[in-house]
Amino acid sequence: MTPLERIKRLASDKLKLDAEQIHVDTALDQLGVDSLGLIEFLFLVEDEFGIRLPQEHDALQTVGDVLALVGARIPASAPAPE
Amino acid sequence: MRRVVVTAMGVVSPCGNWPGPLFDNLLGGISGITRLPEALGSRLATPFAGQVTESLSDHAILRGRAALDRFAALALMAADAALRGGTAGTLDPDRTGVYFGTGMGGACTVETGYDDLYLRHRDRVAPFSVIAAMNGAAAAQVGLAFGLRGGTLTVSSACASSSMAVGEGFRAIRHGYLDAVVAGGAESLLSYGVLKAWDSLGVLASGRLEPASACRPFSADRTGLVLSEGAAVLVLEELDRARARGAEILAEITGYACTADGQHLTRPSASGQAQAMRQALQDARLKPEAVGYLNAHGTGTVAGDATETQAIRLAFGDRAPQLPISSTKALHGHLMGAAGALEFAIAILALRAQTAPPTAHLDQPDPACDLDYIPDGARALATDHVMSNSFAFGGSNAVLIASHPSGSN
Repeated sequence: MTPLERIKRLASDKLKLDAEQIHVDTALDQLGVDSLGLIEFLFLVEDEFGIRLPQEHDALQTVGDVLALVGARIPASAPAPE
Repeated sequence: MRRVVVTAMGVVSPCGNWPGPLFDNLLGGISGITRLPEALGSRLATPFAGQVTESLSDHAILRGRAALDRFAALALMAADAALRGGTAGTLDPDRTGVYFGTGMGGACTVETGYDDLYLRHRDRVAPFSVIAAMNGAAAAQVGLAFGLRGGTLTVSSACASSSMAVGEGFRAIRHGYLDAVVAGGAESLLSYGVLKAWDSLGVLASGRLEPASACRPFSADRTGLVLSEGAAVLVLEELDRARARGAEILAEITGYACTADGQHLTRPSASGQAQAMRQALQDARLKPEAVGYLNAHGTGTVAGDATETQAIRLAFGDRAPQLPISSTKALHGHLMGAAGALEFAIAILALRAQTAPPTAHLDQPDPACDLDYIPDGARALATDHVMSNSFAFGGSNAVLIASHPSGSN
């Protein structure tokens, strides 16, 4: 499963979002969640990939931005969940 | 005094939903109690419960909602079922309250947090554990989803919670504080810690039982209650406003009372329960013989069912043996804080269908429960008034009466 697929699954399972509507260029403020939902989403991403995103979220505008940070921060040894 | 009517209802339950097959399942004796997943059930003496099996992913009302414990998700689904079809748009948001009952609210979110901290030795819990787990979350989420601003109120009086939420909503409209209330209850406690806590209390059905027939209210071989999850919502409106907007009127709420035994935390008192039934009858200005169906609290515990039988005798006197009574918990189990709203909704469905659901699994008559508990299938009714009892740990008693909307249509 690619990182994007894992993010889609999180959004679908945990926030009941329509995974089909989530793409690399989807703006985070167009995900269909409010400010609390976005924080919850980023927390779930951190848990999923075993990373910590920066406290300041301003640099994160799109799903692609999150994926780039995931790629940069994910330890090479981190196991993918089953 | 202003009159209060029920104009819509929504239920999500292990025994089916409303709108949906809920009432047919109750009439047909189809149980919603099933075995818990092996990982959970293998560690429990009573490995079954009433579980809502439908997927939550298909519900647009839940899409993208943050900080959502399962009990609040079920509340949203029930509210959506009640308000779907345009009702929400006809309510004045500033004059519409949201009143919910729940026993333990987001206990599963709390348990997940403890699991993370103590079992997985993680250094953090989910960021919104507090606002997901708070007992007020169901009312808050429903108010938020439908833009209702008349105030959100949460009642937590154990198993009488949502009867009181409906009753207090009724009073708020009757006395002019609000014109409408989205009232109900929600509960989802099927986590290991909570199930174990109930198990420890010694009130769960136990022994060699099949899940579907484990809960046996008023039967001599009853051994206890079965926990369930679900939510029920009733839309209450002031009669003239409901009429003005051409709403379908399902029933009028005519009576409500709540009392406390003032005696014991867990041992129920027949006199306290009877007092609640008497006061509800007085509130509705009805004589006992006017009531034609009673949805009993009837949890299936040895002491509880016998005490309720005594209480009904005290409240209804000579009329008690003629009153058709059933406990639908035999089929849907005990929804705890959501039980009262669910069972009042069922009583209204019985009133409208002029048919009472039976008490399923009442195979062995108990001399201590010697009233007409409708043991042998659905019963035709001819009545304008139905009652629903809810009695709770803490000695809290709540009784609601609904009446045929003739004269209110």
